[in-house]
Amino acid sequence: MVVKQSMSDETGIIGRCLKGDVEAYGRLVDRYSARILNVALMMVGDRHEAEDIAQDAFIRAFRGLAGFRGRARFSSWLHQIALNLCRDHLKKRARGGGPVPMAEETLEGSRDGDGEASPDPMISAELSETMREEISRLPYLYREAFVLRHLQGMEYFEVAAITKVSADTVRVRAYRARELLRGRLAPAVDTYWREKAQKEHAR
Amino acid sequence: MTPRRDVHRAVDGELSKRDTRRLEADPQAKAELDGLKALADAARDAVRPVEPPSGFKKKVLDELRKRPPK
Repeated sequence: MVVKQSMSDETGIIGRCLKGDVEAYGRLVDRYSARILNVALMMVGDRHEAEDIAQDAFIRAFRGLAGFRGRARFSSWLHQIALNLCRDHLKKRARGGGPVPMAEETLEGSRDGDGEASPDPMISAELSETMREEISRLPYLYREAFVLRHLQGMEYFEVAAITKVSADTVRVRAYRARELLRGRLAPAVDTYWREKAQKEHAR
Repeated sequence: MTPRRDVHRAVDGELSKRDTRRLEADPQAKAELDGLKALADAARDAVRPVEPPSGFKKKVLDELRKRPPK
């Protein structure tokens, strides 16, 4: 119901955008900017680069709206654009031989003023940093599936619509990502989970 | 022996209750299930979302006003 309402609301906004109404587009930017920024951040690992990619994705989406047929959700289409930009960016970076920044390092500037959610006191800075590092080391397609499924909380069919592969292919990619991460992070994650369970039990 | 795929489907809540109970009766599969659930949970908690910077929307809209689509 909510999804239907949101989609029909978006159809109206997109109609206005197609007539050149930039202000109307601001509502879509408000709605999706955090999601797109976080996906880009997890894919490229650098806060400033992720912001540039997210902004570029919104600009390209607006300029390409005439070609948006409405068969997919606007959000899926926008994610596709952002992920294509991330892929191009990483290819360029690989050609240039530049270092792969770890997301945690590049978040330093955001901690003080840009409204990052309060840290979970139970998550140690070390686990948080290690988790980001290990996610950033996953092969691209596994990382993409893991980020969209587990960090963005999407259903497999939604990820499939964005990545243009079958839901079963997305499942396999997410399974492999989990296996790789599990293999690398088991002791730290188990300790965290045990402590969390104990704390919840004590409440 | 429980197929790995079923363990993953149980993590995603895509396995039937009956099959999940059967899986949990196998100690090795149960340990794997718990490990993968812990991983998914820890990833969600550890990777905190960031908010866009304050001028994000303005920058996008200014760029669009400057060079509107043809």
